[in-house]
Amino acid sequence: MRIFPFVVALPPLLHALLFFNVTISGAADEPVRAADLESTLVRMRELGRERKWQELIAEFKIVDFAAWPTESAPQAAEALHLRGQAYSQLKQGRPAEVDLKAALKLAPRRDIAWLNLAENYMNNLGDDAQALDAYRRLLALTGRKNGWLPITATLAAARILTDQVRTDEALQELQHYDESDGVAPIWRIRLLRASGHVYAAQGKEQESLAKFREALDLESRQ
Amino acid sequence: MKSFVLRASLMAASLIAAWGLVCLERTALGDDKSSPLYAGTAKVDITPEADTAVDMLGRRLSPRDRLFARVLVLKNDDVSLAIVSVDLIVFASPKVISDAKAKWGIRHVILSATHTHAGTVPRGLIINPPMSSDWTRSNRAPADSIDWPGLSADPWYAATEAKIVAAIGAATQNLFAARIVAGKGPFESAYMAHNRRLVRPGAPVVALWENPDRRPTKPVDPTVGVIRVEDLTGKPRALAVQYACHPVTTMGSGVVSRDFPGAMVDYVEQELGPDCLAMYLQGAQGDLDPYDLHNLRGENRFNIVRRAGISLGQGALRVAADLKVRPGAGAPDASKATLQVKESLLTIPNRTGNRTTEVGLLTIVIDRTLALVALPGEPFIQHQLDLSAKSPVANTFILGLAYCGQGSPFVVYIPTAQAVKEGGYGATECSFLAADAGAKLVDEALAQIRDLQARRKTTRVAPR
Repeated sequence: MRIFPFVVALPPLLHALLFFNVTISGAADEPVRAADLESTLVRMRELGRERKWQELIAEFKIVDFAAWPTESAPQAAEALHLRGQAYSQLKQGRPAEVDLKAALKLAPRRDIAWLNLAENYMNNLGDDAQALDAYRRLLALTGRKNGWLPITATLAAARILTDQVRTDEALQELQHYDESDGVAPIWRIRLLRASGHVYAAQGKEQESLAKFREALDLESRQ
Repeated sequence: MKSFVLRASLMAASLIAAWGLVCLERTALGDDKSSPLYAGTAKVDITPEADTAVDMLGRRLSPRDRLFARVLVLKNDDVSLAIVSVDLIVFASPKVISDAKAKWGIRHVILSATHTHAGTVPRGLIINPPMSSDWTRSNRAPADSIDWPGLSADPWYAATEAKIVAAIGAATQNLFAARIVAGKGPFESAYMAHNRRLVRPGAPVVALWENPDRRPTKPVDPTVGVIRVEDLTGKPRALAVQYACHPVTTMGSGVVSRDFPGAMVDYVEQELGPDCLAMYLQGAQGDLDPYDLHNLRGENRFNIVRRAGISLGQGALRVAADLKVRPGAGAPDASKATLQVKESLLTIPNRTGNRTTEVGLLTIVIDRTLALVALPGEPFIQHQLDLSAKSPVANTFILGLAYCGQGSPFVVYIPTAQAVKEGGYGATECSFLAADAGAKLVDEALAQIRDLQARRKTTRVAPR
C-alpha cells in the first residue's frame, strides 16, 4: 500500500536524474547542456504560467540550480526565481526565501524577484521589516515610474508603514505619485485609497474622507 | 469575625440606603411639584484575572484594556432607574437587577452591553461544538439554550455581578441634584458605520463585514445621540453617548479590548474632567459595522479603534456643546423635569415552530425631550429610523443589547420583515423571532412613549 507515493514520485525524480545536475552522487560531475537548461526553463515557465505550483516543486525540488555553470547564471537565476515563487505561492516561506535570495544573488537587478521576495516576507513570514527593505530595494531599481511594478511596491511599502502607524513615512511614499501625470486610473484609485487609510490612521478624518470620495468619483467615471 | 462585622456593616448600610430611597420616594410621591431630580454615577473595574479571559470561542485573551461597568442612577419622585453600560458582548443578569432592587431600592435597571467582541465571556456562553453548540445560530431562543442565571457559576461573572450591584449602590449613595439635557446631531466619520448587508436584486445578500473603500450603503443613521447630566452649577457629571455600530475591530486580535466605545469614554472623560462619567450606550447596531476590520493589520488595528473612539467622542462633544438647558431651568420657581418609565412584556411567536418568546421592553421618557427604549437584542438600524420618524419625542433612542429583567435575557438579532425576506446574516441567520417582531417592538415603544407623554406629571428640579 505504500508503493503508491513512490510511483507518483518516480517520473519527476527520473526527470531530475536524466536532465539535470542534481545533488546525487555521480550526477554532479555530468556537464549540463544548454539545451537541457532551456528545456528545464521552458517546463518551469509553463508550470508557473498555469499556476501548477505543486507540480513545479515536485519536479524540480531536488535540483541544485546554484550549481549550474557560471555562464548559465541568468538561467539559474530564473529557475531559482520560478521555484521560489512556487514555494511562496504554496505558503512555504522559508524555502521560498532561500530560492529568491539565491536568485537575486545571481541576478540582483531581477526586479520581479525582489517583489516576490518582499511579498513572501509580508504574506508568509510575517516579517514586515524585511518586506519593506525588499520593496525599497525594488524601488531603487525601478525608480518611481508609472508602471505597475513601482506603484505596487509603493502601495505595499505604504501599507506596511501604515500598519506600523509610521504614517508620515507612509504619506511620503505615496506623495511621490501626487503630482505624477499619466498614472493609470486603476492605480490612481488605489493610491487615493491608500492615502485615505493613512489619513484615517492619523486621525485626519476630512482628508481621509476626501481621498476615499475622490477614489469613488474616479471609479464611477471609468 | 472581621468579615462578619464588615458584612453586617455593609448590610446595614445597604438597608439604610434602600430605606432612605424608599422614604425619599414616598415623601416625594406625596408632593410631586417640589421634588427634584437626582443623579449619581459610579464606575467599577470588572477585568478578569490575567490568563482567565476568553472570547466566545473559548480562546485565551491577553490583557490590553481594563473592562468597566459604568453606572448612572436617576431618581425622582416616582422613579428610580440605573443605567449600566458594561464592556462585554452581552450582559443580562437577573441577579443584578433583583439585587439592585432589594439592596438599593432601584426599581428599574438597564443592563446595556457595549457589545465589544473582545471582552471576556462567562464559561456558560462559550461556543465550542460539539460540546457546546453555537447558541446564537440555533434558531432557538437563547433563553432555552443558555442557563442565564447559571452563568454565575463562573467565578469572574459572579464577582462582576456583585461589583455592579455595589457600583449601583455607590451611585445611589452619592446622588446630587441634577439636570438632564439631551440631543442628537450629525456624525460623519472616517471610521464608521456602514450597513453590512449588500442586498442585490435576484441574488443572495452579501455580508460586507468591512467596507475599506467607504462605499455608500444604506440604511445607516449618521447621527449621534447625547445625554448630558449636569449638577445645578452646570458642571457636567455624566455624558452618555448613544451610537449604533458593532465594536468588532479588535475581535480575533487575541487581546481584551473595549474596542471603540472604550476609546470614546476615555476621550470624553479626558475632555470633561474626572468628575464626569462617560458612557457608551449601544444603539440599533444589528446590521452596522465599522469600515475597517479584516483589512487592518499590526498596531494600526488598535490605532484605528482609538481614532474611531476619539472621532465619536468629538462628535458627541460637538452635539453636547450645542445643547441648551431650557430657559428658566435652575430657577427655583420655574424648572421642572419628569422621569417616567414603563415596562412592557410582549409575547412574540418564534419564526418556526409553535413556541413563543417573552420579550421585555423598557421605555423611559425624560422631560419631554428624551425617550429611551431598551431592547434585549440587536435591532437593525431601520427600527431606529422608523422609531425616530414616528416618535413625538425629539430624541428617541433605541438601546440595543439592553436587558431590564423581564422576559428573555437576549433575543439575538431583530431584523426587519423585509430583511427576513431578503435573507442573510442577522436576518435569517442568528435570528429566531417572527419576522414582524421588530415592528411590533417599535409599535409598542411608540404606544408607551405616547402614553407617558399623555399622562406626564411634572416634578421640580432643585434650584441652582
